[in-house]
Amino acid sequence: MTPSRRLIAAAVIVAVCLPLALIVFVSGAPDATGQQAAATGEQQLPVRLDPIKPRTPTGMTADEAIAAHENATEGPEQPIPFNHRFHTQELRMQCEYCHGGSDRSPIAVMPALDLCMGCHRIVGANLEPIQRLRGYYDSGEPVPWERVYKLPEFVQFPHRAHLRSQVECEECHGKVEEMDRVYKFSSLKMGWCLDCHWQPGEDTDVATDRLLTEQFPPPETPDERQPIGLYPRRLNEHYGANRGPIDCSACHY
Amino acid sequence: MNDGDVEHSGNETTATAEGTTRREFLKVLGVAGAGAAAAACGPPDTGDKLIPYLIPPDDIVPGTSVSYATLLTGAGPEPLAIHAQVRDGRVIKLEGNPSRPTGGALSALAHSSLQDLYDPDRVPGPRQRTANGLVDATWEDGIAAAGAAVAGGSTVLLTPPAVGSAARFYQEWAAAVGATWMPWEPLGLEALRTAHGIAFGIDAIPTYEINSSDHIVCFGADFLGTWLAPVEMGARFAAARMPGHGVQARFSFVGPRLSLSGLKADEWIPARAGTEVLVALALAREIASRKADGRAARVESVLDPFTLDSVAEAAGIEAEKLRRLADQVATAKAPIALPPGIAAQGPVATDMHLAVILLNYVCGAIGSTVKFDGETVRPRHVPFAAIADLGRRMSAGEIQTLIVAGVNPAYATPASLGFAEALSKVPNVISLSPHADETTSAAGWILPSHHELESWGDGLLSRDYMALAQPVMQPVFDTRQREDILLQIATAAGAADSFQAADYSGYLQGVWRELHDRLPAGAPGFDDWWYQALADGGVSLAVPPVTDVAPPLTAAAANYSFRATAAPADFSLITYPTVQFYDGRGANRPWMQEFPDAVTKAVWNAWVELHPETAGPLGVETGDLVQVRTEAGSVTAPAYVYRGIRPDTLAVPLGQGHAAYGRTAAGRGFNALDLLDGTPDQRSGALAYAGAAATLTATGQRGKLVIMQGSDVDLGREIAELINIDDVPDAMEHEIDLTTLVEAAYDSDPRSPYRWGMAIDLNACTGCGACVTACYSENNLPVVGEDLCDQGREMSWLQIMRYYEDTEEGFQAVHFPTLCQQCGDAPCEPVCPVYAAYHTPEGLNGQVYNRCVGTRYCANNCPYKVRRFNWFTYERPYPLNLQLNPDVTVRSKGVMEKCTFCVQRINRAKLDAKDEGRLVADGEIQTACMQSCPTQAITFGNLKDPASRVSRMAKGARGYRMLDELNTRPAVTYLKSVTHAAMPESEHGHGGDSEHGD
Repeated sequence: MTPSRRLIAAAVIVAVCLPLALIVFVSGAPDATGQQAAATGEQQLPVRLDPIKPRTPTGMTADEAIAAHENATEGPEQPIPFNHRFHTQELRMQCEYCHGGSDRSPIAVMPALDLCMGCHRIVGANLEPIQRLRGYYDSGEPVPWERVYKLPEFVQFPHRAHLRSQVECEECHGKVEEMDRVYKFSSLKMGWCLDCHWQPGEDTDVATDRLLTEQFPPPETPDERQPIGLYPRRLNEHYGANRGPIDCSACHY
Repeated sequence: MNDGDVEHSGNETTATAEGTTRREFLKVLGVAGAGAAAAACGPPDTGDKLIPYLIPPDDIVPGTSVSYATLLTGAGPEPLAIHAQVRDGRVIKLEGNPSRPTGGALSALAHSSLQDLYDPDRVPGPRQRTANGLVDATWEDGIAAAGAAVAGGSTVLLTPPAVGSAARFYQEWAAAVGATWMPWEPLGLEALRTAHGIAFGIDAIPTYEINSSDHIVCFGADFLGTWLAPVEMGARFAAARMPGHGVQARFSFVGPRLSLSGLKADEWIPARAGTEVLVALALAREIASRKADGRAARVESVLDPFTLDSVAEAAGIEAEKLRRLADQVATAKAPIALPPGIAAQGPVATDMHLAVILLNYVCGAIGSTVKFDGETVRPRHVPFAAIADLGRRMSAGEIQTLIVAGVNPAYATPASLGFAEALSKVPNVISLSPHADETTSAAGWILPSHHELESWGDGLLSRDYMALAQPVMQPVFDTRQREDILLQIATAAGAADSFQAADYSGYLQGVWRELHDRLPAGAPGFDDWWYQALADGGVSLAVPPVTDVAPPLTAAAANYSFRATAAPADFSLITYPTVQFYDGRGANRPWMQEFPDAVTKAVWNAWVELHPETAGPLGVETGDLVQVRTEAGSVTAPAYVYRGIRPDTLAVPLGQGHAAYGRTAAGRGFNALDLLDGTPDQRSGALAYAGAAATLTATGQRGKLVIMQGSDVDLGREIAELINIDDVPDAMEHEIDLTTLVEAAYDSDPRSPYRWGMAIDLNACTGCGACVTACYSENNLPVVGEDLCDQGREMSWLQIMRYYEDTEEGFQAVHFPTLCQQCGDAPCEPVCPVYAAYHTPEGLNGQVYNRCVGTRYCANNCPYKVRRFNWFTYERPYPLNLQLNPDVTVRSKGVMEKCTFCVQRINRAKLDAKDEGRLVADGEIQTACMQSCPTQAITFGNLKDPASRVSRMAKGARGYRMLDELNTRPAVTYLKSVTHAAMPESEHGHGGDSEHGD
């Protein structure tokens, strides 16, 4: 190879591999430290999984929302251009209004079309996507949403355990309230999961079990039982966070 | 350096116009590879869709299973109240209804009902048979044609025995359209009912309370496998045989062949086939003469001819054996005699049952252990003789229309009856069966009905409990409820005016409204009551208690003249049902074909059992082809050499040899009914399954019989342990120290409150295989087929090894469930190069499927050989894949797997417990095998909790571990099986090969 060709080849390799290396090492979790800054102030309230966050309407209109979805650069385009930013910021809807049940289910709950029609039977009837939505409902066909977050089939991931342990939706899913189109915010790699789960010293799942016997003996009567979901929160206080298991069989079985 | 492609000298390379140097090639490859990797590293579109509900069902949390209570009546001899676990609209698992006395237990055949529902060979919709074969048809055309046929008169409706509202419906239907309804069950209870009718003048089936008995004498009924109520009897048997304080019920088995039930007996009285009636009468005579009470006097004359010595000679047994048995029964406080079953049902079946009734009578068992309390309710049906008669009438052209729904008479009757040929003489044969079986293959119209799990129904489980069946999912195929099809046919025939309801679910509700009307005032309204019944699976009925559980013996019985059959000259043939196929309905279910037969451990085939003394002179070994010939026909099949059969007897299993039915069943084995000539028992009309005269010829050829167990004895390795009742030490004095299991360094994290373990009571295990099938169902186990089974590549995580142990009386079987022992010091863990096999903090031996690279070193190192390797990716044709459990990874080729102690259930229970701020309670986690066991032989729990049931069992005196000397510290403790038989002199109580040295 001539020296100049050699130089070009080397430059090409570096130009390709350096960004590649950067992508590999830099992509991964957003810092999921899990510090529960807001936890302490909310003990007296009944259990809330999604503390009310201030929503700041920006005056976006429905047409703008549809256009923003269609013109967004990240994330797959959905069959109906559902804009999360519009629904959460403008309309101030909570995550759990649509995705309720995620705290009881091992899987994240996708809202049924019935829920959308609760409003959109009337709201936005003049908009073309809403009409398409109603078309789906009337024909009895569910909307085939493009899936953004998918874990491999050999992983069993319990959503409810994470919500019960005060993991904020945005820690894994990013600031969905600012997304016109939902895109994959986290790598979903096992290393990223372990960034939160793995603390040096002890398997915190084991420690949690031990704590349950020592610190929080079972209540004497059913009346003394706290509402479901409070115990993980109290464990969070004790530890700073309930980190969850690092045992392979906790997720791979 | 030399590049391969281009000539060059020194270090200079010359790139030619067409060639590329190796260096350049590698660089381009590297860049392209890196580029491809870079492309793959970014967040890709998954390409998957998320499909939510349209209108979500209430109260269903997605991702969790919903339990629907329903009823299974077609899964064997007993109706079972079940909970169907439904996930995302698909039923994935069946479990017993915990509110019933049998709890979560089910039989193997009941579990396999799922594979019947999801059978890919089910008829997917209405079909018509034309000159061009089977063509698709519409429901309208089919029902119109059926209606016209029915309107023409001379119609017969053949169904399985119907319970509850369905029975009422069929009667009304038959009356409305002018048809005859014939409910039929091939393995029916005709002889039992007839005999009890003669003896007591009532039409009832007693409850055999063997749990209250101290001596059980069984005259052939396979009560732990296929007779009357195997799940219920399993629980009763375990209670009877619990060796508490040195007391345990004795169990003697009389018959020419040891069935699954017989293998648990302390003593086998090997009476010649057909002579069980004589043995019962001789025993009764002996006991009556000793008791000399009113009952004895009543039957003295009828029993008089049957002396012990003459009967012993006729039966081919030692008189001393019979005398000793009589002594034992006479001195027993609460003896019970169990009647013969199908395997002993010969031409004098009623007489046999009556003889056993007389034995129970003189023992005083009637009213104490044999109770007519109405707890055992079974539907009535026509006897086999009626079906034979139907065949004759069909051949004579007297039947215009035959509607067959859910029975298969072309298969389940002897070929000599010619039912298949008779079908061709019937102008209109309409099949409502969901399966393309032999009878349906002759039908002109196929209007397939729902599977039981997709249907409405009800039925009495006992006199005070009415169970309700509801559909647990939408129909898998284009089928309709059987009764709805009949209703539509009646409408088409212009005869539906008498029916109040438009469809069967309305009819059923109407019947239940009547039931509700009879409730006392203050009962909840119908809707609330109905929904509660659906949720519970049934309702308790307020019925007055039965005061008289001991009806008096009739004069007819006291003066009965018993017939005996002459012993055949050559061999006596026995045909018997198996737990996996029953009458043949289980044959197209892969789990049932791959289930090793409880006695022979053979799979995917049928065989001829013969004694070693028969096989020896003929030079026949297990697997050699032999020909069995009777007057009715002949069959060539592989032989199985079996100690548990008389030398003058041959035994063949029922249920195989289907000509049609599906890809799994067709062409497997042979149909044992081809060897029967269709003789019925005169009094009851029951088919004589046993007693045909047969000849045996060795063909000299080798067949293929895949046996899933290598050795029938444990070769002195103390794997299966059997001890005499007197050797069961007092539990308090001999407690086993569990600290080696729970506190040794590697067994579990010392800070964890859990160390999961299991205790398996070998005394209770009957080898029925419910646990094995439950495990297949729960853990997505693949079925590999006959050839791979032959290579030892079966995938069963739990296997039941059947080891023979010699006693002074003969031999007994110990059924040994073998599963991953979750060793504390597991040999499989240190040898895995990729840490796929590892130890969890809670003591389990974990297996991470996605790490496994398929070295198979772990399986090599396992001393128990419980690890299973996926040599292929096994296919599950639609809709069998709908049964898969989403909570358990489906493994593909190259991955090792093994029992996980149902870790998915453990994790779910821990999540639930953590939500409530507590630890998992004892009994909260039930592994699939534990849940399904009718005898509760398997217990799972936390070994670190000294109060848990598993800890108490593991510490108990009968406890031991498999291959303990290897220091693997297994978490599974086995409890030795206990027998009344005296054990041979050798120290550890097992005979066989160990006495000859190792």
